[in-house]
Amino acid sequence: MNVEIKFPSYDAQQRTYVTWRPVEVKLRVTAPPPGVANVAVTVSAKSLSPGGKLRFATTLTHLGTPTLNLNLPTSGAQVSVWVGGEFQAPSSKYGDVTMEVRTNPGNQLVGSQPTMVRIRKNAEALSTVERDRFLTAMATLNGSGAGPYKNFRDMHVGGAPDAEAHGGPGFLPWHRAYLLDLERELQKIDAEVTLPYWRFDKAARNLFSRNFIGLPNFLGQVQFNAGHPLLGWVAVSGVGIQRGNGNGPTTVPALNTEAQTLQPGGVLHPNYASFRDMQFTPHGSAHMSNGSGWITNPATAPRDPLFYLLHCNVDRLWAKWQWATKIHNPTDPKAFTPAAGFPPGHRLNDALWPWCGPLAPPRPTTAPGGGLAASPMTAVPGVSPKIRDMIDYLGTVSPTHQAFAYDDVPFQN
Amino acid sequence: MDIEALRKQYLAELKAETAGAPPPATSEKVAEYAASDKRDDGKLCEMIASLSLDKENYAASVRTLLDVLANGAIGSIARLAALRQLGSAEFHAVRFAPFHAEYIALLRRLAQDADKDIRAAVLERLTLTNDSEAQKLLREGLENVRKALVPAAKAVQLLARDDHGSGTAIFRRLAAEAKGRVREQALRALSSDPRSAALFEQIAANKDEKTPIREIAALNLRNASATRFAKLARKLALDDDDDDRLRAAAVSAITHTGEVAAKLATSRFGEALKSIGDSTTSRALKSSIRRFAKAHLG
Repeated sequence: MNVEIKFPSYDAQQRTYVTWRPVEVKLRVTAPPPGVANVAVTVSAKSLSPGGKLRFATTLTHLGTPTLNLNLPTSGAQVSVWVGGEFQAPSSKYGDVTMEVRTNPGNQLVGSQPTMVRIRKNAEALSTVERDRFLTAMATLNGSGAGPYKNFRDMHVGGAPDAEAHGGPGFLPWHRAYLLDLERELQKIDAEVTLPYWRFDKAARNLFSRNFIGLPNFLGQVQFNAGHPLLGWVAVSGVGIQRGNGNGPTTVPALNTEAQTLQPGGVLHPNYASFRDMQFTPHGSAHMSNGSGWITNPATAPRDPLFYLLHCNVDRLWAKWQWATKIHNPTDPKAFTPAAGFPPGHRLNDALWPWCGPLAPPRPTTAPGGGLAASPMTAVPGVSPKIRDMIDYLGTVSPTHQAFAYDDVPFQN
Repeated sequence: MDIEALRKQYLAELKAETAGAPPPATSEKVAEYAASDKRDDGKLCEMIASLSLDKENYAASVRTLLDVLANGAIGSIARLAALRQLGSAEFHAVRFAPFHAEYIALLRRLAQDADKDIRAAVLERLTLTNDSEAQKLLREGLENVRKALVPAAKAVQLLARDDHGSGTAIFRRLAAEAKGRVREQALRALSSDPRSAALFEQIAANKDEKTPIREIAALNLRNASATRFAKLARKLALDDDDDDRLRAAAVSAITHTGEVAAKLATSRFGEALKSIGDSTTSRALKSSIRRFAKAHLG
C-alpha cells in the first residue's frame, strides 16, 4: 500500500514550499490492501537537525499538532490535511524536513514528501550558506547593472513614481508588493532564497560586515571581502556602492524601537491610519541613520542592496502590528484608511503602479518591469495587485496567501 | 506553542517597554531651546531626533528644522542632526512639497558654508538629485577655478553620481594622472566609459598596480567591453602567479555577467578552474569558483 501526498502547488523541479500558514494537502491511498474499507495512518514530519518542522490539522488553524492520526478510505477518495511550518522552526534548506505517512499500527512508511519551511529571517540569524545564497542571487539579478534588478531601481525613483510609493497611505502596501516582486525574482534564480530583514532598532554585527552588506570607508565607498558576490555591483553610476558610515557592527540607530513603533506611549496603535506614521520614524530615520549615500534619498535608495533589508523590516513591523491587533481583513476600516482625502494610488481599491501598467497624468505614464512576478506556490496577488490585495498577505481571513512569512510573526486565525 | 498566549505576552512586553516613555519633543520647545543662550548642542541633537513628524506636527517640525539648519550660530553637530531629520521628512514627497523650494535654496547656500562638515553633508544631499548648482561648484573646484569645497576624491565621487553629467573629461584626466583615492574615484566614475577601455585593460593587467585599483579597472572593463573583459578575466583567473583577491573578483564577475559567462563556460575552462579550486588555499577564490561551477557548469 502507498499513500499519495499531493500539495496544492509544486515548482518546475516538483518541489513544494510552505510557510507558517497551513496549506491543504490531499492524501489518497493507492494499491490498497484487499478486504478493508479504511486504513489507519499517522502523519508526521522527519526533520534534519537543524531543520524545519511541520504541524498538521484537519482544518485551517494555527493549532496544528506534530502528529495526526487519520483513517484513509481504500476507495481512492482523497482526505485533506492542513500542513504548515511549526512557528519558530523554519528550514535552512530544501528537504531539511519531510512529511511522512506511516501505517498505524505497524509504523511502515507508505508516503513521504520533502519540503522547506521557507521564511523571511532576521539577517543576523542567517547561516553562512543562507547569506551567500541570498547575496549570489542578488548579484545574479543585477548582472553588470543591466539585469532585471534595473527594473526595481526604475520603479522607486523621484517625480510621479515617488508619489505612488511614498505619497500617502499606500506606502506600506506598495512596498509590500515591491518586496514580494523582488523576492520572487530572486527565487527564480534560487528557490530557497528569501529576503532577510535588517532589525534596525538593534545592533547588527553580522549584517554590517565585509562578508555581508559591506562596510563603508571614510569616503562612503562600501568595502567587501575578496570574492564577495556584490564586489562588482553596478547601479547607475560606477562600480561599487555609496553609503555613509552611520551604521557599523555595534551601532544602534537612534530611532523608534519596535515597541515604540507599535505602541507609542504605552497605547497600541488602534488602526492603520495612525500606525502608518511610522513612515517617518523608524522608516525615514532608518534610511537617514546611514548618514549619507544612496540609501538616504528615495530616488537613489534602491541602488544599495541594504535598502531591501531595511524595507523588509518595515514590512515586518506592519505584519507584526497586524498580528498583535488581529487586524487583517481588508474590509475592516481599521486595516487601512478611509477612501476620502487621498490621491489615486492610495485608496483601498486602487491598482498599484507600476504593476498595473502606464497611467494618465498626474500618475506615471510609464511602467517599468511589467506585472508582478508569479510564484509557483500561489496565484496571489496576481500580476496587477490592488492595495486591498496586499493587506492579508498570510491568508488569515482570505482563502489565499502570498507564500511569504516572517520568522517572528505567526499565523493565527 | 500557544500562539494566543504568545501574542498576549508580546503585548505585555510592548506595554512594559513603552509605558512612561517621554513624549516626542515639540517644534515649539526645539525652537525655544535652539534660541536659548544656555543651549547645549548635544541636548539639542536629542530633541531634534525625537521631534515628531506625524501628520499634525509635520509642517511646524519641518519649519523648525529648516531654521536650525540655517542658523550658523548653532553648532554643526545640531545643524547636521536637523539635516538628517529633514532627510526623514523628505521621504514623504507630498507633505514635503510646500517646503521643497526653500529647502533646496538653503542647501545651495550652505554648500559654501564656513563649516566643512556642513558643506560636505549638503553637497551629498544635493548631488543625490543631480542638482546642477552643486555639480557646478564641484566641477569648478576640481578645475581649480574656485577653492575646493570638499576633498578632491569626494568631489569626484559626488560629481560622478549623475550618469549624464559633464564630468567625464575631468574623470579621464584624473584616472590617468592623479594618485591614491582621487584616482580610484575617477576610475569608478568612468565605470562604463568605452573610450577608457584600453586604460582599464592596461591597469587591470599591470601587476605593478595595487590590487584594489586593478580590481576596479577589471570590473569597469566588464561594463565597457564584455568581449575584452572575457579575454582579460580568463587570463587573470588562470594565472597562478597573480593576486588571489583579483582572481576571485574576476571569477565572480564572470559568474554574474551572462554575456561573459556564455563566452567562457566551456568544459576546458571549467576543468581548469576546478583544478585551481582544488589546489588553492584562498577561500575567496575557492568559493568564487564553486559559485561559477554551480551557476554555469551544472
